[in-house]
Amino acid sequence: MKKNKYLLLISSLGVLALLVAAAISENFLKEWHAIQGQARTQEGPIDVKLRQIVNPDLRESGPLRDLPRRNGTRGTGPFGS
Amino acid sequence: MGEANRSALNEFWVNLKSVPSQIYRAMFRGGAPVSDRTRSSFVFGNVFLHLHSVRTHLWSLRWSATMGLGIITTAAFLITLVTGVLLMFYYKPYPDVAYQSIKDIHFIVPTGRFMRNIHRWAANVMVVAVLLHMARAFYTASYRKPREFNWFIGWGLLVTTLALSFTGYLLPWDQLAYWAITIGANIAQSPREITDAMGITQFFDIGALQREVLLGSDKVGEESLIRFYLLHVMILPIVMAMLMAVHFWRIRKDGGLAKPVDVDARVKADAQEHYPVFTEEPKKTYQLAAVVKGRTPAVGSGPENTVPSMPHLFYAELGVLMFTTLICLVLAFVSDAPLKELANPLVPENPAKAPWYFLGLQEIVSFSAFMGGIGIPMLCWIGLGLIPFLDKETEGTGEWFGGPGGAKLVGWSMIYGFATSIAVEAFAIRFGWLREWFPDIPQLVITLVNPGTVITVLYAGFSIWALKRFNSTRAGALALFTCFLCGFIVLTVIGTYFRGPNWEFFWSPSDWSAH
Repeated sequence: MKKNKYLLLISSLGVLALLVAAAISENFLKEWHAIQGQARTQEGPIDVKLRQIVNPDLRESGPLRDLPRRNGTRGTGPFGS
Repeated sequence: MGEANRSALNEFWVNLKSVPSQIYRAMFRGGAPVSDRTRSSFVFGNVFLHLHSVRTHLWSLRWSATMGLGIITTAAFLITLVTGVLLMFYYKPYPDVAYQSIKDIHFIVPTGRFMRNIHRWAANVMVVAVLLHMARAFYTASYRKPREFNWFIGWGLLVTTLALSFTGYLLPWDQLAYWAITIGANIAQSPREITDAMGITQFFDIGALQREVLLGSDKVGEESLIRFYLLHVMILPIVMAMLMAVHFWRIRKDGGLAKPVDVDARVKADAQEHYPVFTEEPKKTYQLAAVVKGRTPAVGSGPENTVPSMPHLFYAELGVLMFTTLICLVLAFVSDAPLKELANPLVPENPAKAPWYFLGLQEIVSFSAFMGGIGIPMLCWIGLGLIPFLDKETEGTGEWFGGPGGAKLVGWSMIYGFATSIAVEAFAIRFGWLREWFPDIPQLVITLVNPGTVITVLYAGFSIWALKRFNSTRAGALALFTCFLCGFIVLTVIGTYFRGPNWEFFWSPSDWSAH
């Protein structure tokens, strides 16, 4: 049983270490984060946000842009432009 | 009155202070698992744990008994379940939009890329583990009575695992996904090869029907995506969870893992390593059940050389579960899940390849779609399901490569299995096949005589030889299973690494011609 306890302990520590490493890597070390962070227009920095698909019939207001996809839907681009 | 108020207030205060211990006692009514009785109630008083037996045989706890492959499969399934639910928050199952949402998951959602990587790697780990688990169950003859039905359930779990993985393949809606599923759909349509040869396609087009059932349309499109999504996130996981519950339950009901007849002579509880067999004198009776003659495998078997599942088995299971998580995380950390360009029905991928576990079949499909896609897989599938009903012998149950012939026969079968498949493939790659030699030859002849069927016949011949040589169906099964396993590996490796544009043979992808 001791071997199994060690396996559990070492694996758990490894998982924790990797989760921390992944969090640092994902949030601080990825090149695209730096590029996204620098993206700006004349009005100021671009807000990086998720694409939203909206139905125009719902009279959604806001900066919408046509996307080459499903008829009747429009959405904001990945950089919210 | 004032005294009574103070008393009630005191009681309230005492109750408030003891809330944590009360919650603990309410959860674990039997108390801490420190004796045989409380260890037992810890197991059968828990909705999840009571799928286990209260006591586990020492033989089953040895690493070599199972290599933890069943738990690895379960752990991988749980990891895909958790990460899959997280991905569902952002995934939108509609063509093009699906691709954009995967890109958002990859580049915008915090840790989305990592979650997707873990999901993808856990799915692959699950496919590999379930194949190895099946091989373990076969080589230890664990399918024999009374475990025939559980082998059957495992057979269903294998198919469900492959279906889960295959349906998930389409969801990113990139070129890789689109053309892999197109290949799969073409394989589903392959009975047309037979109906065309017989000239009855216009009356009886079973191939087109199968393709349409799979895709919900005549081509991969929005109907297919919704269909695959629904199967992937709901129907197949539910089927999987139900089959797994029955699978675990049957392990307990079938008397635990398969063990050799003389197992008690082979293992001995070590007082230093294990809790004693009994900390209390056994007093249990099953009341009325005690006077009824039972038929389950546990009847008549004593508790010798068994230890409490809590903690012995559960530490082993938790250890393997965390180890699987660690492996998936390491793989996810070093390798990103692929995402190619947006799916384009007008620009075929060349080569268009199915998911890796179907590439062996695709290699045969390149000669005969029917034999590669339907004929040989069905033969293997039905053969696997029937194994427990064809091998009724008892020698070697619970032992690796147990039975007449044993490990030596498996070794020779491996050599034969690898050599035969490599030789036939090398011949077909170097000299071509019937179509290259006789351009006008009817397709039906190639359907019957192609590298896939030739390898199958050679394997069947070897299996019959082994069956006669050792006068044992188990020996025949050992030879046949090992040969097919080797053939699967050889064909999968060739399909994965050595096939390039137009499915031509290349020693390395760097030799691929520009296309």
